[in-house]
Amino acid sequence: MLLDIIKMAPDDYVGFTFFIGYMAMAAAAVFFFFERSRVEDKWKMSLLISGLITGIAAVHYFYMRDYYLATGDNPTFFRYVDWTLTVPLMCVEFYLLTKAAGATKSLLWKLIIASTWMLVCGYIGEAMSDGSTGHSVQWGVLSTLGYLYILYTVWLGEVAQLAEASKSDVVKRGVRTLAWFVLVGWAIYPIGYMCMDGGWLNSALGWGSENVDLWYNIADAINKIGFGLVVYNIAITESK
Amino acid sequence: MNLFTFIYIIGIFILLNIFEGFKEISIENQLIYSSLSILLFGIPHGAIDHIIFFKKRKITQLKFYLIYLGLIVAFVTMWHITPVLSLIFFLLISAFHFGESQFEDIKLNKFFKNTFYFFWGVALLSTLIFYNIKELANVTAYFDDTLILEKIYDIKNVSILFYFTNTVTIISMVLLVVFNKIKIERLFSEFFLLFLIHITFILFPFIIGFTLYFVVLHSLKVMQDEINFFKKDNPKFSFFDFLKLLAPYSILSIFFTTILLLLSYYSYIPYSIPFLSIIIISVITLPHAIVMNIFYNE
Repeated sequence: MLLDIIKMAPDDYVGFTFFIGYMAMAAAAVFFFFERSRVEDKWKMSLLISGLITGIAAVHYFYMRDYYLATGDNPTFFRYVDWTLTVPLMCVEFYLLTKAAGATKSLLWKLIIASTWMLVCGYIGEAMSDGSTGHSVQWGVLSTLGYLYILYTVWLGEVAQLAEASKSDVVKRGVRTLAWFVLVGWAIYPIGYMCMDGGWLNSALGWGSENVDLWYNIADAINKIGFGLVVYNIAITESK
Repeated sequence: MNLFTFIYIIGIFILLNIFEGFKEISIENQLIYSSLSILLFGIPHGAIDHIIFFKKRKITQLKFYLIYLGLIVAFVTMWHITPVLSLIFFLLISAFHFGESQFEDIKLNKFFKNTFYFFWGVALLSTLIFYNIKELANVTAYFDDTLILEKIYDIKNVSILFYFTNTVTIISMVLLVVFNKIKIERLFSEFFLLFLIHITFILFPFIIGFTLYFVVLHSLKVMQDEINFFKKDNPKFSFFDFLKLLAPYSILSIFFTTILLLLSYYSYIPYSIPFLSIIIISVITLPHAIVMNIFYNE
């Protein structure tokens, strides 16, 4: 129905990635839900979470795609709704993977709170901006604190230590790969934040918010589907 | 990612937010903040050279200090006679020293190891100059005595050096994995670190970018290596013990550096503060790099 009323330019790469992102997320969700039956019981929850992450993202990409095509604007609101639900779920994956090595509920809650803090502060900084740099910096710094806490925990802190203590090499390597996603994959988001109007990268290097959606879409697909595939690989290998 | 890379990332985020808030920082302020950071972290990392050397080699104190201070005096004289050659010499020593501290743990034939250290370090410094060549030329042209150093920053030569050394470094790191000298994960970490260094040198003014690298990835890392070295002899060796060891010469160095900079400021010394700073840093780098070479190899 949408295609009947809105014409898409062949060089609209942002629109292109919204479509690709939507279908890729949906396909990944189906894949994880179906593959869930092939893994041992202890890994079923991990695959359920992977399916939920990509499933929730697929629904939001469906909305974002339409919103973008109808208005040409950045769907900031939908992005943050999506991230607020899916990023804490990614943190849950870390807990589930290291549970056998002794991860506690307290670790789970610390990661969930840090990720929610990061996203809520980022949303306030981006969506409620009065155009002043002070507002953007203040909430950017607060949001970054949450990110750095997660980064520390998965690379050097509790998660890293638990993974090291794990008897499984697959889990060790898997957690380390997921940590790379947090380090490299998630770095796109603060860059995007600083590209919005009034942001430093916007004014200093001319990187506009209109370019950000393209990178967000690519990064989202890699981060969410890639994250899920790493978890899937651990589950299927450990179930053999 | 190790602790230093994590601190480096924090540093990048802090600087990004500072630049987000202030947009621009004047050269004077950059120099003040960078000098303070280098005085507080850079000088202390070389302030226990004598202790390290006496643990590694049997030599009298008099002989050590004569050689150490003799090298300093010789290099100061060289700076006075031929500043351009001195700067090139300083950059080459620094390049080797940076490469060595970054990859001190790899086991390789001495020739290949030293060549790799050298290329990694030259790649680092040429990257710093390549991305900031205009800014560097402006800062150099700002003072009469630094103007002569501008000869080094020829865009064509720097570009060739940048592409050549970065390519050789990347290929060498891949070969280290192929020949089982490092693990694949280390390769990713080193690539990522190189990427971060490039990003830092692109995004920030060269003084700030270099200071961040020098303080976090070099000085703090070397200090950690030094602490580990003392812990081998004495497992109870604490961070406080380490501070006590490095305090005397750090305070002395900071005191005399400040005096020299003040003398320059009040024109008692015929060199500008930036030129004098380069001389001071270079002349203390030379003997330090030699001591650290012995430290890492023996």
